[in-house]
Amino acid sequence: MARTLALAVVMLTPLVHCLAEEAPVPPEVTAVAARQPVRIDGRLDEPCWRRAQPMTDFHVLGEEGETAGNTTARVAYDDTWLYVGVNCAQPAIESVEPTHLSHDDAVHSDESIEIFIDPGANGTPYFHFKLNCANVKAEQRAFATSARETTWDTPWLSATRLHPEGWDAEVAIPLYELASHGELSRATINVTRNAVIPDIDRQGATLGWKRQLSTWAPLLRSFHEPDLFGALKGLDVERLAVPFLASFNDATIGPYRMVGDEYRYGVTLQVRGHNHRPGRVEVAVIDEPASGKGRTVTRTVEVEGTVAQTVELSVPVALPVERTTTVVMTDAATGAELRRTRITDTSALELMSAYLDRTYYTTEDEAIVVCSLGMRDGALRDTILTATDRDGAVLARQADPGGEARIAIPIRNLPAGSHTISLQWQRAGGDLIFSQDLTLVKLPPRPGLEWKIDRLNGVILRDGQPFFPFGLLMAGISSEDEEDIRRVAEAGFNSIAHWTFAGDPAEVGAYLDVADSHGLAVLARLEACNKRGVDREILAEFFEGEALDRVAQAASHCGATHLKGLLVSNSDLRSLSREARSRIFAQYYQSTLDPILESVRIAREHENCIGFNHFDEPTLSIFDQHVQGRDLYRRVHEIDGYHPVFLLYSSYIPEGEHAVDWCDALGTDPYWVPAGQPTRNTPNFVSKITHWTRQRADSMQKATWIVPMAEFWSGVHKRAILPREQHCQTYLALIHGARALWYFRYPILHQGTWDALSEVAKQLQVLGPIAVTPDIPQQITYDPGQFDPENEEYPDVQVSLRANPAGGQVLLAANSRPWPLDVTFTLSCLGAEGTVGRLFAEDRHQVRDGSFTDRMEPYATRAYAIAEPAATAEPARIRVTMTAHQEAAGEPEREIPRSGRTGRRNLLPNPSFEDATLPGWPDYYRPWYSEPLIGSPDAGWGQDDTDPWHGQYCLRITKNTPRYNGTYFYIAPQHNRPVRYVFSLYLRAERDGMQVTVGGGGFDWKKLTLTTSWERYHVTGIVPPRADRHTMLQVRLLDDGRIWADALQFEAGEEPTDFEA
Amino acid sequence: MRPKAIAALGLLLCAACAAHAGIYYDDSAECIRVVDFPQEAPCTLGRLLQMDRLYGWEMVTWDQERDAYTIAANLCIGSNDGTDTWFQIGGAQRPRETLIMQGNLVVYPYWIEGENRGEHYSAVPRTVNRLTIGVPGDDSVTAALKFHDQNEAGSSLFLGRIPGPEGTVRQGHGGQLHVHHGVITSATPRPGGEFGATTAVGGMSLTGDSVVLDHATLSWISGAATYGMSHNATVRHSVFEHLGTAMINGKQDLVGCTFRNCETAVRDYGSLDAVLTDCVFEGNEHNWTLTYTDKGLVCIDCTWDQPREGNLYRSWENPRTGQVQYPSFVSKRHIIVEVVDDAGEPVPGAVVTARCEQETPELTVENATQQTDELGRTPGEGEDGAILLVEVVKRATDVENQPEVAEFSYTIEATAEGLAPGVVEHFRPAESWDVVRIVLGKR
Repeated sequence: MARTLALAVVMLTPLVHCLAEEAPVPPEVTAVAARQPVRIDGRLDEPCWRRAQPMTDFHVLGEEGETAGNTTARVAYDDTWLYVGVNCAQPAIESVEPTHLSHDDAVHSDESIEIFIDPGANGTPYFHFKLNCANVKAEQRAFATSARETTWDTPWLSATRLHPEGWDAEVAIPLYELASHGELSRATINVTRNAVIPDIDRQGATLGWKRQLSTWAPLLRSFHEPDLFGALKGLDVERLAVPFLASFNDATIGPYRMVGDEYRYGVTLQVRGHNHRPGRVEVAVIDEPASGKGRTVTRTVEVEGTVAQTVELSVPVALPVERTTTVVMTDAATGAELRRTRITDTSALELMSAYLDRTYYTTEDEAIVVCSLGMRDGALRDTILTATDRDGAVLARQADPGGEARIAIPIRNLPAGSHTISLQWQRAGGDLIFSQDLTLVKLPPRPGLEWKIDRLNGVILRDGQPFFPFGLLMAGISSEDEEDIRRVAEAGFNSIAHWTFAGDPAEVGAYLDVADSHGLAVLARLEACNKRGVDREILAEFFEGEALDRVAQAASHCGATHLKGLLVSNSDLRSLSREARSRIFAQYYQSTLDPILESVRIAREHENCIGFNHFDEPTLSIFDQHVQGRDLYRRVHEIDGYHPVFLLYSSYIPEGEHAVDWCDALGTDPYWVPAGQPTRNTPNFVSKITHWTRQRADSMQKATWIVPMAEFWSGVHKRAILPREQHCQTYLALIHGARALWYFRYPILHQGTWDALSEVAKQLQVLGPIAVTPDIPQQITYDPGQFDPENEEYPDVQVSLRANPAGGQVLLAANSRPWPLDVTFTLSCLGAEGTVGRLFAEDRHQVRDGSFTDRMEPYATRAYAIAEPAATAEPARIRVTMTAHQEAAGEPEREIPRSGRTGRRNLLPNPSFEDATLPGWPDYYRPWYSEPLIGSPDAGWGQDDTDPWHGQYCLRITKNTPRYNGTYFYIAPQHNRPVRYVFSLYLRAERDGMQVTVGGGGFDWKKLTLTTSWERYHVTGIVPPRADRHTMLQVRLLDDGRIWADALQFEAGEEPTDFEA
Repeated sequence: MRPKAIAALGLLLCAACAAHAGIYYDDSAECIRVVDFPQEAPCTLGRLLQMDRLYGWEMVTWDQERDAYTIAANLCIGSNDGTDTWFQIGGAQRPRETLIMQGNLVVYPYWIEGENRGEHYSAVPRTVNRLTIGVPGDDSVTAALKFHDQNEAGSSLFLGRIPGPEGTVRQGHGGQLHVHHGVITSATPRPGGEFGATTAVGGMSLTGDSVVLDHATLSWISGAATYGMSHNATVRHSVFEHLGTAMINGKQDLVGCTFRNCETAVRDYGSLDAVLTDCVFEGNEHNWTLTYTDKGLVCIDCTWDQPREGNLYRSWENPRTGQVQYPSFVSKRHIIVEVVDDAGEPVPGAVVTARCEQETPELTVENATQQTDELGRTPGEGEDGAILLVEVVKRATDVENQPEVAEFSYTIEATAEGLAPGVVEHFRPAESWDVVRIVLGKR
């Protein structure tokens, strides 16, 4: 198991009264020694539990002073284990249905408890154990730095027992594991409870369920505050002992097989011990068919050492029907449960899945049914696959189909409309194995206006021809900004995405017209015509008085995306149940539907309309946005069946079909963070997310569209992306399956970025048609390394072989690292001798014995032109052998965290703008715009070496458009109590009397009048406990003209002290 | 209490020795095992001492006054189970921390042949098992790792290889050692008190996937002190003294190192391909012995004294190819050319070209053509493009220790617009960074 360190997704809770709140006093508990063995069976009936000190009065998280009396925990220990027993009162236990049944799933979303233990390591690390009432576990190792190791996987024992008053949990955690990482005399602990509580409205009707989060140790913002855990006393271990521990991973299901006259399927798992202690485990596979009687198959396995052994169990079934499969491992000696998981990927048991190769048909002669059959071995022999129409007439037939069958159905004479195609898979004797109905949509031809998805290859077709859209999301650009649209077209892009509020649907048409005049296709935005603001009546259903005023004000200017953000983060709205939040969004959606649909009617008549962009980054975990998503998708296709709908998620696509069945093209925006925290500080984040998006899109036959970062996003702290990194991430996206690239976002701030994007666009004119060719089967071996994004492992160089429509093939390659590499590429399609050329360069590489070599500089990209055509019989074999020169990269680039510089009075990084990774653009600071671009002569914003107050540079800020300009940055020092800070800076103006405002981030805004001489100004404010990491301070220039800033200082106190560089 | 007797790590038992999380005594492998400590919270000697007390082992002791820990057992850092394990000796709060081993210290490979799933090491995640001594960039921390020489079963450091009985080893892939301003030496630093493995080559095995010796000192080691260290290593400004052999075989690239009082500083045992820059040899029996390789040793700007037993040059017929291989020693030296006019003023932008005066197939000049800067000088120390000349090549012949010696001289010419060309002939690069002055007269 490899580790995954990821930035925590902290469970943000409302910051209620924090400003007035001091850090709470941590409580204390004494663990009682267990003198007799504790049987982990969920019954807290051993003597130690009677003697143990009860931990009660759990505090409701985010509700100051409110306690929940529904949880009692106790702690005991012996030389081997730390025991935790928890009694959870839950009057509605019979109605509670845990939904997370796989190990390491989000079990905390169910009725559950969580145990946090800092073994006396000052939070580095601390351990986090989660258990739901169905006895499904999850665990991780965490760090006070907010890094999380989610794949940390040590076994622990647990049992739960349901009873009429609720449920009990009994847990044993190996003590040696804790002791190894800290000092037990300084250990701390917290136990938390996630109770699901019926949500009852004023009329007494049950709306659904909401969660009550409570914690034994009083916390401020989230469960992950190790410095506030309670002291764990009394761990007086006589002689530490190591227990037998084992677990399993990689449990998978195989397809049905015929064994004699019986159907069976296999379950395979990797079993291993976790230390040197040998032992025996019992593995049980619990098979639960949707109909008929299930059974449990068990096997005892000897475990010795930590080398994984493969264990297979064969499960006999009466009928091959839908089923669930759960694997449970227990210690054979004690019966204690070590691990339980439900296998979620049961796709191998799907008997048949089929789809049509186009989203709709017009002038095609035939439609192809692509059919996957989920049986192996002899089970496929003597079977027939038949396609019939609704009346039973046979349209096509195939005998003895393989595992992947394709059936051509003639449709030339099919009238326009929706047609049911019925597939039957039968034995030769006529017995039906499986049948599936498909809907074939045939539309009247509309030459020039047809954009459809080739579902077999995952690409969009423009009038039947593969098309690779590459463009920019045009933020704030309307049809009146023709100069900006022209600039994008001249840079070489073929598309743009409408990314601004249009209001009037007619503006959507005007925008399409302007883009068309410059040869650009447009991805229209369904949200462009959202109503701005949520009706007070909608909110009045849920709020009254001051709360209603607050929420109505917050939602008075929002569209759908903004409303989604409020539902996620606004403290009032967050307090509502999922159902209530869903209802608010549904009502807002209904109120804004008409102009959206009108914009669809207008856009569909434009030849350059690619399709429609759906809700931006939907958040299904907070409310049921997919309900409106599906409705809008259906309505769009009712109005316009000729254009696809694109659905863009952030870097995470929720599980389940409901997350993705309302689009034709599926996308993510794999924004990474240059110089940031692992694992997001590398272009390999693009590799990972693109790979996962492609897998998900392929499973649903969608096109994969990727939205890379053009320059930066809000999560970036130190600097924007560099030109060579832009090339690299673009190639990595292509290599891992992007079928469109929409860069977020225009306008661009830096000239170097724009030049890089322009160069990328020129290359995409060539690479785009290559990227939309059908995939070439290929087996890639990397040495060293492998592409294993689940475990955050990436080869330094990554490759993909694709067909070149101009002839031959192209091997795309990208060095994802900041160090150079010597690389040998060995391809089975290459001859013994010859040369390999390159697109976009004159270089040629000598081929010897099917291999060629190249030196790839940091983040270098290549498109090797290979004259040989793709082999048809076997997959191409590609071996990439690399010698890395890591020493040439120097020290890894680091960023100063948002909490500021440590050990310094002035917390601000780069406070006098001396450091600029991108020429002219001081690290850690940003403008709203720069005219001309940063890095160009006389840039509107950026480093200026004219008369600095300190050092070599100051910061020039120019306002030369109607919009305000200035600079902003993030700073969020971390404290357990409110602390007053003062922000000071030196400013001068090109003329006396120019005005700026300074503030934000919880600081009051202060208007300043400047002179032409350097003067120091300051504002003060309170930084709350656990300040939000996005606290943003701003300097806004209100008048046209130029000012300069220098020597910024952010320090604790009331008055600024001498500037500290 | 566990038996304090120290035995070699059993070969057969190693198949079951990988572990997962924590510190415990691995009976099967007869070692204290440390597993699954992340980079953010590496395992420390203090942790080991604490666990020794909790388990009641009595294998780890601490001399508080010297801040020295002694481990009377084998110690295994990491495992091949997919976890990362980081172990740290020394730090800002414990600048003189010392570990004294009375057994073997094995930094475990992440992949072991025949044991891990996957046929090849590249098929498993490349995890990190690393022993770090000292702190990068902090010369106030001078931590040490010492080995006792009194253990018949051996007491040495193994990276990526697992010692077995009777000098055998089990091969793996992975294991890392990073030393910054630290020392690896014998607990009895005197002649006869050297430590070393009981394997065929003795010394220490550094076959892991990353070795950094940065201002490190390795001393009092018998046999090959850095066996297996090659392209996996970054070695800078380190001292090797009182060793059997400091460098042996492989691709080597060392900068700023000192080899002192070694039996053999650089030894070719079949595959040496070394480039040493700014290195010093002094007081060694042999500075280098070149006896097998078809490549050899290149010294750039190095200095040496006369080795007590001389150097060794010998050809060898490679039985695999049937070819006779003639190892070579090459000395190269950087020079600076200063171009001035006849008034002694620097001539910026002058084009300087160096040419070898002997007919030779050797590449004798690197950066042969350069331009002078504002001071009239070609690139100097620390700058790219400095002129590099071969001083001498000594190549083994069919007669042992009678190498063929080729010394080279150079013509250096400078031209500048508006001035007459200037030339220095028969220049021999005997000293590194010699400044060659060329005066350009008026046309």
